Amino acid sequence: MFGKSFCIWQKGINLTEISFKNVTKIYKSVKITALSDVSFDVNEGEFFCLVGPSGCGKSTILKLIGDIEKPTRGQIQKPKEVSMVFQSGALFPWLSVEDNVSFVAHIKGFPKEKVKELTTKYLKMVDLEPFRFHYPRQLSGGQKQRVGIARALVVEPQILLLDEPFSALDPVTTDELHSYLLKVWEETNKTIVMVSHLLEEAVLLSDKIAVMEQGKIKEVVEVNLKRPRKDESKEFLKVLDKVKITLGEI
Amino acid sequence: MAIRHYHHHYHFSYLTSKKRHFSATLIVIAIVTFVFLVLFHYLTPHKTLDLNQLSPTIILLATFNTLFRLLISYAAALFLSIPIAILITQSPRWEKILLPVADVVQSVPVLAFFPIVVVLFIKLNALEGAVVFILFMEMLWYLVFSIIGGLKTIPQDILDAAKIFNVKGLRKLWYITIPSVFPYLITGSLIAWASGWSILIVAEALHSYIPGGSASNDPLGLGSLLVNSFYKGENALFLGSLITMIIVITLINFFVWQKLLHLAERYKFD
Repeated sequence: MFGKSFCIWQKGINLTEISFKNVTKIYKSVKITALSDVSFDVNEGEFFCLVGPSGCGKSTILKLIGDIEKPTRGQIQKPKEVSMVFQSGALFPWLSVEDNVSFVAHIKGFPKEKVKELTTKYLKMVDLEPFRFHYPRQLSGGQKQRVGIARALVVEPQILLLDEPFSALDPVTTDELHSYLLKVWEETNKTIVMVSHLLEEAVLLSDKIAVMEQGKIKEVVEVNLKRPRKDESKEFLKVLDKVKITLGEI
Repeated sequence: MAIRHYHHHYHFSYLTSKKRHFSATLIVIAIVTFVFLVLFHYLTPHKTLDLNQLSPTIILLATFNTLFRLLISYAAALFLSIPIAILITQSPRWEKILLPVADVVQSVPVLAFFPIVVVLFIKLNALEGAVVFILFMEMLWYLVFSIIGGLKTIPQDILDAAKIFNVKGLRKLWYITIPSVFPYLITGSLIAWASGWSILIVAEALHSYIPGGSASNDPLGLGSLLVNSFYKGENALFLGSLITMIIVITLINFFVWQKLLHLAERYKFD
C-alpha cells in the first residue's frame, strides 16, 4: 500500500495520462451516436471506472483509448502503450496458456529471453504458472480471465483497459479476481480504466467513477476510501448511494 | 511432465520446434506426396486409357493418376479460395459485388461447362487440363463458402484483441485468421474432396463429349477405368477398380480427415 502511495507522490498525483476533449463517436454504418461531446481526464496510476446502463458508450470509450475505434470529433491524448482484458477473455483457443501470453510479447518485438522472463513473471503474478501448458478450454472462467490479465500485462502497457472482465463469473470467483486485480495494480502501478455494470464493484475498486448515460458522462464521483474496502461499511454505502442517485436508481 | 509432453505433441505455436510442429509435419507430408505423385504421373507410360492393355496392375496406376488430379485441383482451389473469401468478407463494398456473383456461379452445375471446356482443352491438346478444371470448379465453391463462414464467425473480441496487440498483415493472417477458420476449412475440404470423388467418373470419361471419341481419349484414372471396364464387360477389373476406390476413400478418410477433424476441435471458439 505504501509503495503505491509513494509512487503516485513521486510521479505527481495530478499527472494526466488520458485526456478526452469534446469527443464524439458516431458509428456511421448503423447511424448510432455512441458518445456525444465527452470530456474527462484520468491521472497516472489511477483506477478509473465507467458505469452506466447498456449502450451508454462505456465500451466505446475503451475502444477509443485502445485505438480499436477512431473518434468522429474531438481530441484524445493518451500514451501509445495500451493493453486490454476482454469480457470473453478473447484467448486464442489453439494456443496454450503460456503461448497466449508470450505470443503478444513476441509480436511486440521483445527479445526471446525477455518474452520468456515476462511470461513467467506475469503467470506467477496471477498464480497460473502450474497451468502454463494447459489450453483455454481446460481452464475455469476465472482462470481464463487471469490469463487475460497476464496477457494484457506482458506487453508492459502504461494503461490497462478492462471491459466488464468479471461479468460472466460467479460471485466467489469475482471476489477472488478483485483481489488479483488490486494486487496487480499495486505491484505494477498501471493506470487502469475499467468498464463495469456492477456499482458495488466500481466502488470497491476505483479511485474515480464516471457515471454515464446516453453517450455522455453525467458526473465523475471520487471514491476517497482507504483500501481494502468493506462493502458493508457506512462510508462505502454512502459513496454507493451517491453513484446510484447520479444514475437515477434511487 | 505428462501434460507438457501431451500438449507439445500436437502444438500449433510459433515457439514450437519444427520437429514437434504437427501442422508443419502435415504440410511436409502433403508436399512430399504431391511431389511423388507429380513425378509418378509424368514417368508413367499410360497417359490415356488403352483398352487393349487392361490389366489388374493398371488399377494402381489409375489410382495414382486420379489422386494426382484431385490433389492438383484441391491445391488450386485452396490457393484461390482463401484470397476470394478474404476479399469478400473484408470490405462491405466487395461483399455486395462478389457474394451474389459467387452465389450465382456456384449454383450453375459444373457439368454445364463440361462440353465447352472439353472442346477448348482438346484444341489446346490438354485433356488432363479439362479433368483438373472440372474438379477444380467443383471443389472451389465448397471451400470459398466454408472459409467465408469461418471468417464471419471470428468473435469480435478476438479481432479487437488482434488490433490492440498490433497483430496485423501477414502475421494476422497466419496467427489469427487461418487458425480461426481452420475448423471450417477442414469441413469445407472434406466436402470438396467428397464432391470431387463423386464427379470423377464424369470428369475422366471424356470420350462421350468428343465427337467420334473413344475410350482411348480418356485420361487414365479410376473414374475412366470404371466406366470403360464396365463398357467392355471386364467385370473383374470393374469390381477391382470399385473396391480400390472405396479402399482409397476409406484410407484418406481415416488417416487424413478424421485426424484433421479431431485436430480442428482445438481451434474452435467456445
